[in-house]
Amino acid sequence: MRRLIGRASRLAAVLCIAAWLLAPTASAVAHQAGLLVFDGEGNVTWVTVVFAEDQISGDALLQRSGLQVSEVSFGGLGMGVCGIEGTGCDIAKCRQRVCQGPTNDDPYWQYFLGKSDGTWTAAPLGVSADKVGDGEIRAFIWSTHAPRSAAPSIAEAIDHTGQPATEGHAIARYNADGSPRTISTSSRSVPWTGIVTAAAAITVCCAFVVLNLQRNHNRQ
Amino acid sequence: MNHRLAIQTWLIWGTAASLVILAGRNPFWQALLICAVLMVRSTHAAYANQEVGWPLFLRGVALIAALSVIFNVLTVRSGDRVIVRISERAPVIHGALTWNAVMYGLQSAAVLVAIALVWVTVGGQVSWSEMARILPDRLTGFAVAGAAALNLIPQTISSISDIRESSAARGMAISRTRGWAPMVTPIINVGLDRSMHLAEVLEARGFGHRLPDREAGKTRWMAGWTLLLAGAFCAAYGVLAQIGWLAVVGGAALFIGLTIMRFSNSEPQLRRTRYRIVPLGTTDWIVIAASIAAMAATAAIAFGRSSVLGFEPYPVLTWPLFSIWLAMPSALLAIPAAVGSTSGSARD
Repeated sequence: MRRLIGRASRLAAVLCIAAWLLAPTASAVAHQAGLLVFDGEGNVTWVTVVFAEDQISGDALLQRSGLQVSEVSFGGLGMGVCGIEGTGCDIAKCRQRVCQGPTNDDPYWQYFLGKSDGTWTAAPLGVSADKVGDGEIRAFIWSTHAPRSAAPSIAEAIDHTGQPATEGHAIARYNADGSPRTISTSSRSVPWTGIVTAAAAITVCCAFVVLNLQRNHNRQ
Repeated sequence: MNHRLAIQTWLIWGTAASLVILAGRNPFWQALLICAVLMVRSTHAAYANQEVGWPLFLRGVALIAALSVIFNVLTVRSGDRVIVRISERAPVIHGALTWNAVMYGLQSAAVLVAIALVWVTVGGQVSWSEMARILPDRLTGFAVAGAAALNLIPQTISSISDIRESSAARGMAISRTRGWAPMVTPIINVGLDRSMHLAEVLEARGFGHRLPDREAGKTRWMAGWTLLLAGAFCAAYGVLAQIGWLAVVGGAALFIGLTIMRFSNSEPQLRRTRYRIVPLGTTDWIVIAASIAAMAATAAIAFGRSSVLGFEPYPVLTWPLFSIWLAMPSALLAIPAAVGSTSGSARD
């Protein structure tokens, strides 16, 4: 009986922690922040994110932006950004050196803080340590230099993206020449030849292994 | 055919299979290669004292897969197929846990399992006395150290069952995981002791002792060896860091070092006598040719259709590509299963 009570209390504790971890945070007053993504080829993506907290991390801003993002955790050092909207490096390379190549000109995802005077400052501690407040602007650039255009205000960002819904995001993508850009979402067809070949190989392999094991067993 | 393959053949096959496995992360590629290696492993019975049983191997596979998936899911925040989203209140692990990360973890586990499977198969076919016999005189010290190191895990595994049986005989049956705690020290101790014993036996038979060099060529040999190591390091760094001149200089130093060593005439004054020389038979040559062909086919695919070999489940999880050419290296690596069978009973 005592063991049963012990198990039940452990299960209840685990469930409480899980519920606390999975429960969404309570919403209060809506705040807005802007995010610009420069892909290194002149294309720019503008995003406006609405959030309930007084401040969120740069990583949370990126996660809530609705962009396709790849990140790797470096434990206590925070998250490293590997790819945004298809630009960047694969996870294995990102784990090794956060996409940075061996030469000085090799691009990587740099993170900048927009100032009210229109200048950009490189973030000293990365996306996880940065705190983004209401009306602030952040930028990612796949390059070795700072963004060439001036840091916009939140009003300019909303002008580009439109007003997002409550606790949502609004995105606007532009080509290098300033025209709107669309992203093609192509889905790959099911490779039936590969599936059939792999299934046949696995069947032959299983039969082969079982026959050999049986033959060995019989001889012994 | 019923022929036992030579140790050189197994080493070449193992190297070829490892390189082929490491060349790609396409799930079809990995599945076909694992099938090929499993077929080879089931055909060739291992030496009785080097056999790693299927239950133990499958437990190892499950452990590797679980660790790989858990590590990847908890460290990568990417993907379009979200399993669950952990609140930002949780430090370090907050964010979306995705099926994409599970897939990537399984791919990494498949690579580890395939490599382990290849070398468990090769390890079961290699007798360490044969290995010491085919190595050059200068490397016998390495052979002794390698034999002692590689013997550690099988001996530790066999000590688990020995200690469990002796504990049960004394009335200490281990039924729960917690019961294993007092057994850890004796198990490791017995495994280490047996490996040390093997090393002492080999040393006593003269394997660990290096034969004296000729004085005349010793300096040149050392210079050549130093140049070779420095050149290999510089060339590797140059290639990895994409610094062309360093790679070229390193390659040149490596070549010069090799040339100096070749002509240094510092062979030992005495040579070990080898009474039994194992010749390579037709089946050995067939397997060696197939292994080299598998590597060549992989290189051809890598240069011709590299997109087929790779597969990245981030940021969108899609189906991997398939080409019938992916099956060719697997078919070539499965040839030992067809040409040389030593099934029947575990060799001793």
